[in-house]
Amino acid sequence: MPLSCDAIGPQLGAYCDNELSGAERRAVAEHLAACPSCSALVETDRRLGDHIAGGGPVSGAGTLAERISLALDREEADLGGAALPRLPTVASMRLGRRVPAWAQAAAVVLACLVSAGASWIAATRVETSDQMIREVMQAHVRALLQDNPVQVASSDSHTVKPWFAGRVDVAPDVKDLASAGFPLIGGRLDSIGDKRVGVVVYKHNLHWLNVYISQAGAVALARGAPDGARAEATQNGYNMICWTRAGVTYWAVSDLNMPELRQWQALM
Amino acid sequence: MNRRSSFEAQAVPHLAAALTLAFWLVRSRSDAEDIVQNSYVRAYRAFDSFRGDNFKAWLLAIVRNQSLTWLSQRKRQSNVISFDEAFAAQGSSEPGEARIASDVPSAEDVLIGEGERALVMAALDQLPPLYREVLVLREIEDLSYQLIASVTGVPIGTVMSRLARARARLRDIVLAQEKKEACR
Repeated sequence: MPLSCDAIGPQLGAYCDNELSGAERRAVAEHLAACPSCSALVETDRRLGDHIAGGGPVSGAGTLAERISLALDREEADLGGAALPRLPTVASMRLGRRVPAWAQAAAVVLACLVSAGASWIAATRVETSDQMIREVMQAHVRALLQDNPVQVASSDSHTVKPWFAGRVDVAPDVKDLASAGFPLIGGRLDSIGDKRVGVVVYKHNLHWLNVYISQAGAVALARGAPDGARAEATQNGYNMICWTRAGVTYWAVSDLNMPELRQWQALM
Repeated sequence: MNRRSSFEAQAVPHLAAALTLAFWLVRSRSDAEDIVQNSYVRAYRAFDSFRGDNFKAWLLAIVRNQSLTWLSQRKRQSNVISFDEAFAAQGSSEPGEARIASDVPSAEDVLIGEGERALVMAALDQLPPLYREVLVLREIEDLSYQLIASVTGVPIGTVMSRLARARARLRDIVLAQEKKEACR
């Protein structure tokens, strides 16, 4: 006694997924052999399923693996109480900071442990700073999409700077540079790489300038960066200057061209 | 093997699966990465209490719950209009804006010659989260109904019916779009 299309409908998918057995399976197979329209449905669903399988996976989890590894380092440090030696980042080595012998030894031990389980860290470690730059750039673009770029709107640095007190763990340099053509618009909070950061917002003509501010060491590129360290980057047409002063790391991002951005930074 | 390397040896191979699931639930790459990172830290904290027989399903369940929590929190922030929701009604928005909003090609982009696959991805993007997740778990991760049931915390029968409804909705959207395209 063949079943109707309506009765068989809900089971078609389960049949294709090999999730039916015995009598149910035979009933669907019999129906499909005799019913061209249900066969066509099954065919279509299979094709669409293949498309999802082909187009759905998100690639590039490698940089995320790096982030998670750092997050687990922090987690262990918090849990264990004992200070967990951190691997020196590429950024800190490039900046020429000397790595103590115990950290080197620890790095070797950790590297052995990690490589036993996964070689992904070695492949992604050098991308740390690129990852951070990408995140700050993304935060800048996200901010541009919003109607209101500030939570505290003021051109008075003595209003904006105190606003950050208690909201972020640093007291950033805030200057109103209206006379130089860079008026202060205000401040807001954002989040980068799992950390809450302050953002000071300036404008130059029609260009927005977002300055992301965090404790030096809170973000990967800045970790171990000595005072006065400075770096520049360009991505997707946005320019960035990053520097560290008095234990605070600043990431200035804008669509201003680099010379103008440098000019502004020189005033800071 | 210590706890940390034992966790990483088991968890890292599922990173792509975790990221894919989170992405298709929250539809933003950077938010998905944050969610997966938090989920892995949570999983690591709870690692000692893992007693099940399928680590992947346990891990994905955490990622899934974190993603749904994120979605519901965003919904509750009523004064913040999310881009995804603002442009959820396809066709009423500027194509460029819709693309920025969801990181996924809009239907209009797709029709300019990328073929059926892109059309399917755009259709998947339009489905409700509970439909998206069963399709992702089944078609991409190739999980059995049993495992999908343990990730999503519903009975197997519900997995089966939800998957059937999700496929029907997806099919309707894609075929309607293809018909519209053919008429142009």
